[in-house]
Amino acid sequence: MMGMAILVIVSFVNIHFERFNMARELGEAGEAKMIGTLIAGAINNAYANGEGFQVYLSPEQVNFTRLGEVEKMYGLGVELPITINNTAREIVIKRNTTKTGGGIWSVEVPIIPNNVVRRDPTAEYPELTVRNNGTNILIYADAAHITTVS
Amino acid sequence: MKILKNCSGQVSIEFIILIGAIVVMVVAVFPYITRANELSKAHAAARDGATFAVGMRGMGYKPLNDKELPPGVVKITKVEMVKVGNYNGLVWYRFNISVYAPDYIADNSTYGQSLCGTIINQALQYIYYAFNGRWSDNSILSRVNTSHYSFTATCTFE
Repeated sequence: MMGMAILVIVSFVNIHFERFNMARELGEAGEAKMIGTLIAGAINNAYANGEGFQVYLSPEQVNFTRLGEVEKMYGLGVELPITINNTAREIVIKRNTTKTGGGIWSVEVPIIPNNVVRRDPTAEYPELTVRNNGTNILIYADAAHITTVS
Repeated sequence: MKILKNCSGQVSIEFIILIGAIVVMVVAVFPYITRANELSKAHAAARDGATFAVGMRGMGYKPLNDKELPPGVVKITKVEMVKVGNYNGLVWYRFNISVYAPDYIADNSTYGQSLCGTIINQALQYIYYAFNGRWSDNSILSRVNTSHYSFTATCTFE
């Protein structure tokens, strides 16, 4: 009787934890994609509004530390740096969920311009400022957070 | 002289028979319960894995070196468990996973195969984890064997 009870309880606990982890993985994946959409929105706005236009995304909005955090999560966070691919005109976000059986997943968020250039943040243009200088779309971000490829 | 009856520490013969009968019943049905539990655990795990795969693909994520799907609503509508026969001395069950996807995904063989492949693999990965307590070293699984059963999965579009 005790054996049966243990069997049933252990099964319920397993199902509970599996579903909890699955819900968290999916939630974090959605969160990561939303960050990509946010950055893409800023880039597109800077492109569409012409020279001199700039958008500032605060570090609170895009929390890179939390996004790439691996210690408190069961799986792995977003693989940083986030890649902006100018040739494909997309922002590529990768999530490594090999620890939770999901493998490596990536999502591409399309952007309009193909001339996005990363620059190191300055006092005038802090982290996550997106600016149109008339020639390129400049994104000010740490190299460990965002990278651009042609 | 008065005889004092000492009744403490004794149970009736009926009670002993009842307890004995319960113990015998439990022992007799225990193997069936463990097997039924194994099946229900696999079913739940397959459903979870398929749901995870559909959630990721529906959001636009794709596994490494796989095809990107066009945006659209993708849902699991049914996960059936069908007994197929025997496989290497194990009872073989197959999960028939029914998926709803837009026509431009379901009718396109490239997208359809890519989506189905992810769903099947993820369902089997979750089954593997449910029975082994760790994730498989193989990134692609086509079958999962347990102590009594062998599980495979198929995917069809509705």
